[in-house]
Amino acid sequence: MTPPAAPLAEDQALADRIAALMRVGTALASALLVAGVVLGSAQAAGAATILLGGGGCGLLVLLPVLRLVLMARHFLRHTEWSFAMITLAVLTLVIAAAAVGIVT
Amino acid sequence: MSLGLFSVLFAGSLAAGAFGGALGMAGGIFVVPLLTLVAGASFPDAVAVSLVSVVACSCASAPQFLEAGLTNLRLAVVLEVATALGALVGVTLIGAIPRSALYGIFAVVLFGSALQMAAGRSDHSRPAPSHHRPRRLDGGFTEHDGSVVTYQVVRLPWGAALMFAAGSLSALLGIGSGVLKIPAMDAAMRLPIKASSATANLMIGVTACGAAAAYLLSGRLDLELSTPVVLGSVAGSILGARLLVRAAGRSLRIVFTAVLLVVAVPMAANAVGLDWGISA
Repeated sequence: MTPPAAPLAEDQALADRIAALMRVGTALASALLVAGVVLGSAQAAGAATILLGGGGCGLLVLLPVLRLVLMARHFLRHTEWSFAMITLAVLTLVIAAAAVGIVT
Repeated sequence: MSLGLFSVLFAGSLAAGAFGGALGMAGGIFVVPLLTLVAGASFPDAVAVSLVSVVACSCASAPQFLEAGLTNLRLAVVLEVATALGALVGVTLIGAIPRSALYGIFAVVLFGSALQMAAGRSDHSRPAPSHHRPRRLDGGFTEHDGSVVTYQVVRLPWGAALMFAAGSLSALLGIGSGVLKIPAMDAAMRLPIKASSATANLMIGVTACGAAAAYLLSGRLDLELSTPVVLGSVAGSILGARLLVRAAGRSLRIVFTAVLLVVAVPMAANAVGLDWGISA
């Protein structure tokens, strides 16, 4: 059996949605980091820290998690239970790693 | 932070991100020594910043790979079970394994991967019997010159085992471990190098984000150091990803083999006690 020459149509639609999420999220996070630098240089340290940490870095770190949520939703919608379960397992492991890392 | 140090970290991270992005890995392996040697950061601080830069590299370059159809999403999520489990184990082992031992393991794996990459592989190698293969993981993409490349995913358990090891080392050493993931997919699972690179690029974000979130939420991430590194990594990765999409698979394989060897040398040096800027 010859494998497909390109991803399945619904998979490419998912890929395009993830690409959009990553592009918008990265741009927004970068904008927040730049704003933090500008505020930091203007001696507004408190606001700068919130923008740098909570906004920029926080959003970036959240993007792979949001990607997994998008994938889980896609597989559930298409009743691909095995892939949905696998995606949810990855999501659980990532959250567990973060929780373990905080307490250790 | 002085403007000079900000600029140096930004430029260094941009170069690391561009180089890493062009190969489908993050620049974390270069960022840790940049921070310890140039910025005088401690190893734990450098690891934390490096993990966030790895996520940044992955997110910034992913759109181009996804839109070019290079990333195998289904294979990525299956292998992420192994790599995320490895990262979870790695987080629990932080401080428990001597760093020199980690570098030793890392160096051996890198040398082994480089040898396999350099040896190449036979295009006539027989795929596994079809009833033993997960066909939903097979894929294909269109090259920049219009030619169509299709592939079958084989030896999934081998790939998953290597991903587990890569995930553990990622959490312990502050790297995306794309440098291990790409050979795992290329050599063990027989994927084309461009599909391996693009898929590994997506996976490194998930591998690193758990530990990165832990550093951020527990207040152990140096935000001042992170800003130039993350901004440089984002810009560099976007540039690097453009190069990868256009690059020929053969030249990519040669460059990646060279990178494996170059990275393995300081790792081996640290394993035998020489401080080359990537240890505490």
